[in-house]
Amino acid sequence: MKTAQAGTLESSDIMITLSPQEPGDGVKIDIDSNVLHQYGEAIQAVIASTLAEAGVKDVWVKAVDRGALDYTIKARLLTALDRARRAA
Amino acid sequence: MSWQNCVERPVPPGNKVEAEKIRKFLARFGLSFDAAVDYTVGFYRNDELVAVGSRAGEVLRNIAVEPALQGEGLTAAVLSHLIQEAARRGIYHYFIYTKPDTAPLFCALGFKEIARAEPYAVLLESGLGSIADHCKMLAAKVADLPPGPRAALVVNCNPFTLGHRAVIERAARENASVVVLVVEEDRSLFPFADRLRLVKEGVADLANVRVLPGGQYVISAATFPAYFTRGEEITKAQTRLDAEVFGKHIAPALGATRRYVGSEPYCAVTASYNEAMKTVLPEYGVEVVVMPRVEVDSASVSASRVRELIRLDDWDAIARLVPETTCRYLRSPENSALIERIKASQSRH
Repeated sequence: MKTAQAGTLESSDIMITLSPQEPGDGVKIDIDSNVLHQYGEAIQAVIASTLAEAGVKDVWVKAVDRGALDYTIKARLLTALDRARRAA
Repeated sequence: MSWQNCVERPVPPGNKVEAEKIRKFLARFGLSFDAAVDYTVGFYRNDELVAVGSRAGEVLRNIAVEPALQGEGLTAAVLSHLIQEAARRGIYHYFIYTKPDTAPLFCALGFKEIARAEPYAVLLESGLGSIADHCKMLAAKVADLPPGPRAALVVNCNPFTLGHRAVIERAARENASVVVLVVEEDRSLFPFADRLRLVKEGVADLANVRVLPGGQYVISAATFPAYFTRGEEITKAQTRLDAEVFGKHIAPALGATRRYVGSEPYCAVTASYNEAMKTVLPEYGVEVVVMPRVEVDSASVSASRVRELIRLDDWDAIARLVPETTCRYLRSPENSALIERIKASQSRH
């Protein structure tokens, strides 16, 4: 895996950047959102479960959210993961 | 009004007609267009420029949106375009240097404030990595230095002279330990790797001195962008901002309570930088110690004088201004091409 990115900063979208970490480092998720107060935990949960389903264990995810729906978050994350794996 | 029917396209470098359009557009926002950027995108409506943004290395700059279309998400579109293009070049961390009144616009798009120099400028960053990560790394690199008063220096050493040696030596004598940060930005005649090595070799006998790469948060393209505000304000904004970053973040990470500098009789920018430090750093509990330049042959020792003597081929005089280690480096056959380049160059840096 290599560092990769997907999404935009436009309204209702989310920009996801992820970077592979050393084995054993685990998953680290940093979220910046205009709705962090209400939906921060929900965004975190979508990202964590999508990573788990994809079998990714050691990764650093940076998300800049602009009010994306769950489907958008998942789609952007999967695209970033796909790019990260293709680049390797 | 919608910008959805805008066309976004990269501005080809070297296209003089487009560059002129962008220059005119940016002038309305008090911004200058430096053609030395790596990438520029323009947003056009009916072939008329309505938004623009550029990237130079990690610095996103010249971001401007037609006032009538502001508040429609065009800034987010420009930033997204620049960030996606940066990703294709393997760049995942970005700086924005902007005026205090426009900073909130970028903060709403995920950018975080590093420091500000009111009323001139604010430095923001986003992406992977942050000044907090950088400071953690710095703190780990100096954790084993002896406890007690600690001093810091930021040096370019282009190349390392007996003048640099004298300031570091004094700092080492007056403090329990000293951290020397070598400017990493490669804009000097001597390459960074060589400058760093010559500093390390030149102070190798001083056990309480640690020499480290300066990183991108001291005197870098991010803290010293050579554009933006006009005239004398440029220097003031840059030097104050750099001093703010140092006082607020770097000094506490290093555990440094003093910063040593050499007095600056010649260069106006460096003199202004020393003034900015004397104003800003005490607010963060960092004392600025200015040491007068040492003199050899009844003139101040400076790296620029060494470069001048290289041009004059006066190696006897050079040997009196630099330590043995620098002298050996300058005379090494391996570096003859570099020396020739310096002789041919009129650059002051």
